[in-house]
Amino acid sequence: MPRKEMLPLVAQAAALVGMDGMLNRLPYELSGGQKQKVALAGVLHGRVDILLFDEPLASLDPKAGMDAMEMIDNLRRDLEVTTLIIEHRLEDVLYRPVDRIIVLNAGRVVAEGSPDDILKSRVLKQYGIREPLYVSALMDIAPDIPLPEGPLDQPGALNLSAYREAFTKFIQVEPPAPSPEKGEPLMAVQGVTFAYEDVPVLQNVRLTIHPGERIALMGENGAGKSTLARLLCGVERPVQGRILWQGKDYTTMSIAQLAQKIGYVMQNPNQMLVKDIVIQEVRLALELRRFPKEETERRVRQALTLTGLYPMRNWPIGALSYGQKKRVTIAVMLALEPSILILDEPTAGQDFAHYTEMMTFVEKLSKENAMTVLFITHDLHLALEYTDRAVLLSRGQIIADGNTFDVLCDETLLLQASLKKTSLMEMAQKLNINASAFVRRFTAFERGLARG
Amino acid sequence: MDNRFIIPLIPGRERLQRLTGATKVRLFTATLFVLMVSFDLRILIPGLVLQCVLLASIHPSLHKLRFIIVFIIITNAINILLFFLADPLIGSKLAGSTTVLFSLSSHFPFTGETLWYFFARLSKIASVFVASLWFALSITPSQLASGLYSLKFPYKVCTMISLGLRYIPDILRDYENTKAAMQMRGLELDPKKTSLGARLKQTTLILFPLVIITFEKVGVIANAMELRGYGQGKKRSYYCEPETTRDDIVVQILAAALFLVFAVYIVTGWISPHPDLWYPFR
Repeated sequence: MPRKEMLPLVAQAAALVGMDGMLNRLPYELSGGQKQKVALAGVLHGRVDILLFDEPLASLDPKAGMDAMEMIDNLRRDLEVTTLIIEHRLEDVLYRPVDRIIVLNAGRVVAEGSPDDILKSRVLKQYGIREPLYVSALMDIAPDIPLPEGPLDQPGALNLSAYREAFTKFIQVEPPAPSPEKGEPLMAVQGVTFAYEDVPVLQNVRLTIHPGERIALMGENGAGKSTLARLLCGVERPVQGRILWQGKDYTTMSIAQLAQKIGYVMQNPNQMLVKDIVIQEVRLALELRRFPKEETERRVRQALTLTGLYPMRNWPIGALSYGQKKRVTIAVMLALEPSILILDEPTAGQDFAHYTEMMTFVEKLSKENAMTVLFITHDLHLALEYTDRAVLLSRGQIIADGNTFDVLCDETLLLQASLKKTSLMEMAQKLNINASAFVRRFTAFERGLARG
Repeated sequence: MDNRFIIPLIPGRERLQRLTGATKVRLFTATLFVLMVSFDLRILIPGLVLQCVLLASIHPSLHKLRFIIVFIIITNAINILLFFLADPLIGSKLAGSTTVLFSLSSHFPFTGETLWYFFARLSKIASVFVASLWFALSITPSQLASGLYSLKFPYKVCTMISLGLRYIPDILRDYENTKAAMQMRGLELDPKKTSLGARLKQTTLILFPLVIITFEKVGVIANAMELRGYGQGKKRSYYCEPETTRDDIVVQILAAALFLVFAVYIVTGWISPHPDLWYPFR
């Protein structure tokens, strides 16, 4: 095809996904959502009959996820194409209407029907997929009340008045507030500013980390979350400001020394694993530090047992699934017995069953070993369920730092950090009950149910 | 840390950079042919001047290039010194005459021919280096591919080359991350604390995961390209290639002229062989 014919077609495809002004940008300059739009535009040439999206929402922040769904829906309408979306973040997909939901399990179709039917049948939970939270809330809190009229996949249109009484009663049983005992700070970030070349990434960041805390570090793609983590473990050093470890400036400590205090588990396990066999991988860090033999073996055994990898210790790394590799990377850092563990997107791209397994395990770790855990995540549910404190970053600045429920139920803050309010909040607002209390109560309630 | 490498992904705004990939590849290839053919300063000096003019015309940032320029100067200085130590009469042998200017000792006479030879050698290296710089700074990986394709290279080879260049920054970023991960696990890469041998051995530990990640990427990219119908046709066209302008035609004629110089030099060489080194002061 001559270039003259190409130009308008490219412009047209780019315009369809709203990227027409950005054709000359470098791929590195694009956000995750924009890259996805480009990838989509790349397959729009010619006459496409079916568009298939394989986990379009993975690794997008919630706001970008909503934009992606909106774009997919608009394309379907404008081009009149059949659209198939493969996802396990069902609630986010249902932000725009779909005609059918098909549930697959172990290679078989186990359920198929309209969203309304599927949601009502509760088949999702059975196969390890998270139901939309408002659906769980309606059916679990008040199982006796008949479900409201109208399609269940459009929460905005549901008439919930019948639930007001039950829900008001529900939040009156306050769960015990988590005990706020804080020791001496482990780490203090004091007015830290950081820039790559001349591009500022973090500005005047202040943060104090205490022993035993579980903190969620959240913010839009590119807000500086991973950079902050790299600063904490010394891979990058502040341009301005100081970072203190137990009151002492950490500049004199090398990355290797800091790693015995702060373990950073990166997002991509493949960037961390270098050996052939699981046990060698875990042993490596101790061998490089010339630990005595018995101490090495004790720590390796402990790290492998804690992560549930002990039976697989002699497996080749190549034979492991992505989630298992992720665990190995956690075991690798645990063997150094750090006081703080940083987990970068621990659950990205995993279905609900694996997600729950991973998080239960991390929670056990933090409780039994009084370890501070810092989660870097986009997942509001993860933060609400497993952390006590949330720190929101937006454009390199901390815009909120406090109790998870209070921070994540503040609509203005969520908007600023490109996060999406949960459907639970929306429901609480509709019923005119206290959103923070409702979310807190419901989270505790669901965990009670899960444990039986 | 996004684009500190010298591979440009967006064509620049200068005249030379706005030429088509086909023109730039032709000009560069013809230049290399002419510069490589001999140690004849009558060809090398105008060549060097032309290359410097071309490089200056794209206003390169010398700050970014400082490292590579210093590197090239040092390695070539060592190279020349070794040549001299190995055979002080190398220029005389090539030129077929000996003019001793002065001698440090009977083993190391300085002949005019040898100095002339080293001067020619340096001019040749400098002009090839300067040519490579303007070429690297003014062509994007895609334009390089389309340029090679216009010289009848199979387009799959061209795609391989352009993809390879395009992914160097990505691979370097993976390398940085893996290096950081290994340092956290206790790998000491500080030159003050570890010997060179130990550091080399440890660097191989980083390369292993890098290869794995890169292979994964190759698989993904291959699938993505196949899905978009890559490789179905026998021919292809390039989106990145701008329309041919008058500048292109002028430069292509210049490239042809350069190639003609090369051809004339070769042909006259057949008829009556040139001396290996042209030396005017015998």
